[in-house]
Amino acid sequence: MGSLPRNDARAHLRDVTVCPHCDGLFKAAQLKSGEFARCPDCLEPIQGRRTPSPQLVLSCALSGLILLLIGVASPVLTASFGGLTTEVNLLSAPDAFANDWFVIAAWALALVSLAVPLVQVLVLSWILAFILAERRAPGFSWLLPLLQALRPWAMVEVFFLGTLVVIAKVGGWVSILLGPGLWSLAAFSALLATVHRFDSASLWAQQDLR
Amino acid sequence: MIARASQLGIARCRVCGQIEDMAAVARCSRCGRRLRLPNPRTSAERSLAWLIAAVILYIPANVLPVMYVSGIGGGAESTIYGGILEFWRSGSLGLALLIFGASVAVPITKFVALGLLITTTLLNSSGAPAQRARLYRFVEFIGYWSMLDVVVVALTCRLVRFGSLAVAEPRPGIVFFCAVVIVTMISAFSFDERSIWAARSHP
Repeated sequence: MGSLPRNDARAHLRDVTVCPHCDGLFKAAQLKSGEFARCPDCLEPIQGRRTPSPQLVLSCALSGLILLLIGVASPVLTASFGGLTTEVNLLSAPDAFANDWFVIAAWALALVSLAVPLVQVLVLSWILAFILAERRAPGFSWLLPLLQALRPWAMVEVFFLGTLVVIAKVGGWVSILLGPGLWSLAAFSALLATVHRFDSASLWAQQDLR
Repeated sequence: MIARASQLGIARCRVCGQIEDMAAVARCSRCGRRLRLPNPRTSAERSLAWLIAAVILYIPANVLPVMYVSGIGGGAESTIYGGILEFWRSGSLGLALLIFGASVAVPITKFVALGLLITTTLLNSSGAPAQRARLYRFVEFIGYWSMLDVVVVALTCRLVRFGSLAVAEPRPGIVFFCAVVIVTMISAFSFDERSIWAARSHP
């Protein structure tokens, strides 16, 4: 990729690429399969990034959906003390902030730990199922931007780390049992890493979809 | 000198990555989104507004208690620093460092880093763009780990509900802290990373 003389730029829109990170304008590289190109200025990979196959991402998203439901349906942690037992899962944790104006924090926590990841795997499954059938999913044009906007707001791995801290924090004087929800959270965090590597914007380039 | 696309009126669609000539079209021909050229000043000012809000919210988040724990021997409120000290005194150095990192080091690093990025952009500085770009990516990456303390307080308050034996309740500090995390993340996303390179294109 060389830099481009300015006056030529407009004439060759087809042959140029613009770095999304630094707005640099370059001649697009002709890549062989498996190759990728970095922006010559800011050095970010911008062309031909390896992305997991739709099949792999769809299977991750569907298993993620099941794991998330386990995290909602079964306890993440169970605590017993003085003959009393309490438990918490992905859905009930935000309830801790249910009192009056604290509810803002309850909604925020419910969004980032449950709603956002749930919408992510649902939307991705929906879009990819159609892609594998070589069709464009209904709602594609607004679901894909939604997926991109949600991405930084999924905090399942933070929630998982939080459970580990709580085990250490109260485990000293309360007996703590690890529930199935905890393991499903751990597995979900791992799957989400693969899902996040998927370059969803590349789906726009598949013009042949109907 | 490498040309910036925006100087030539060429925009990359933020949604689908299509390259378009703004002189010919106002919307992306592929996905229909309105095209926008990067505007360093506007994005830096918007980011600054959110950053100021976050710094203000950070004060009650640290001064006010985040949790109240009562037991047979009475009750006590604790702040974020109190929680860290408690781990430290009980010998859990690793956990004290983890919570310190997520609740103190990460937010303060983000404030300083974003302040630096915004200031250099507003001053139209062209120095060290690669380093500033790396700083921005670092801010993006560490951002959401601050939510850790909010999760810890929520889980603790849900679990420790043992009637007269022991009860944990949230206190206002944690709500402010949650707001700090979210507002700082919005500040980071409001900042257009392309601004870092914009000043370099002026000959």
